[in-house]
Amino acid sequence: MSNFQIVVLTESFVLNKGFQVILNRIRGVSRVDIAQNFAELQAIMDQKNVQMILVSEKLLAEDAHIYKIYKTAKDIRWGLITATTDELQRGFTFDLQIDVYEDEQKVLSKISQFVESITTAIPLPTETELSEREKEVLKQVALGFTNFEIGEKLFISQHTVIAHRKNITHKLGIKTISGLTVYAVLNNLIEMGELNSLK
Amino acid sequence: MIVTASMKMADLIIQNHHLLSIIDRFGIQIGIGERTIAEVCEQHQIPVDFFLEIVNAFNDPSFFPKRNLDSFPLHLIVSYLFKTHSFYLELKIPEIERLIKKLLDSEKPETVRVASLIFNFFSTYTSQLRDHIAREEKIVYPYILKLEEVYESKDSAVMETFRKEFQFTIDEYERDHEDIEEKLYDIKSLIIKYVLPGEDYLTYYKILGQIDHLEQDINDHTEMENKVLIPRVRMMESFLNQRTGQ
Repeated sequence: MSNFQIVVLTESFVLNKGFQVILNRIRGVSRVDIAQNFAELQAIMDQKNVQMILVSEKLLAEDAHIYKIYKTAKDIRWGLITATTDELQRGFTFDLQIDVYEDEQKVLSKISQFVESITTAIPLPTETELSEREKEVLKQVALGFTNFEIGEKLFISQHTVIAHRKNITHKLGIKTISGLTVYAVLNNLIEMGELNSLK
Repeated sequence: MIVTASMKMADLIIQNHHLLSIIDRFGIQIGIGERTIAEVCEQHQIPVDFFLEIVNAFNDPSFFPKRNLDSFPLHLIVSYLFKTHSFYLELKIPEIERLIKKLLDSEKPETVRVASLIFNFFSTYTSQLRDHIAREEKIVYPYILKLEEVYESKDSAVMETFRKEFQFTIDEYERDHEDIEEKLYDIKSLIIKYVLPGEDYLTYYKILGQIDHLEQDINDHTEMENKVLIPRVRMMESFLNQRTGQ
């Protein structure tokens, strides 16, 4: 389960819609938002953790606000949407470049290869079986202990507890404490009687 | 498909029956014959443009954000959101609870054990949802309605008094939607991945169907708050702050 969030940012609604449809077909892309100007982009960025922006040449060159984000937001990947085969202006670098005249297969494979290279770069466990240690941690989480308390009990650092919890959530696909508690009881990691009340 | 005023109301419901709950919020019931959306709205004294925006936004999530919704008075949007609340609390949640309780009545201990776990989880979800809704209805919505009134008055003295009286701003309105949504998502995942339903599978399918519908409706509700309501409230607040020199 990946949560790669992309914003398509061009001055054309039709172009944005088209990219949205194409990107939504790519595995690993969890959400595609579209924006036609800086204000719309900002509204999206206020609410979401955007990982990539596909921007048109025109908006990048002509909108100072967008250019500023391009220069300052270091953790965002940038893709350029062009409608020309001309050389890029100097001073710009992009993780990805798409020409609107390219054919379907080329556009799809370019983007999906890129998304794959990003998402596999994030090391996450691929197995779904919990380790014994993770079961221990899960049990404590289900019983309502804090990260600090769990660390004390199991003689590990809080940091390690958090890492275990991340892996547990990733493996099981369950995010909330209540949900993890139900899982723990369903799988007999804890007894119903051990729970005073579910949080 | 974009819904227009000249479409027949019945066709709208035939192509997406989830819209039944939307028209219900506008006080429209079935038995609508061959009348168009415009005609039905007129009969119920509903601004047809507003109705179309709501229906289109629900029908196609990418239809948002709409500039059009910006042109409707906030009280219209707030009163619609109020009605979605009662739909959740009075209809959807009791229905899901009823289905889970059906499992609790089973004679098999394992069915009861699993169902009571799900029931407890769902209860923590609903009590959180109830708190959230109560806060919106008692604090947030009244504040917004008052703010709009004061904003429309364009009277500096009125604005001054309002700012003194209401210390609240929309930024303080904690957005606990996210955790609420995660709980619902987890209930679904748990049922789909880890419950062995045995003979009770049909009841579980029904529960999943109901949860899914609730989830979709809440998402739509949240989108409306985040994309229409909140930005406009912010705009009004900053206008007031400028005028009152804060």
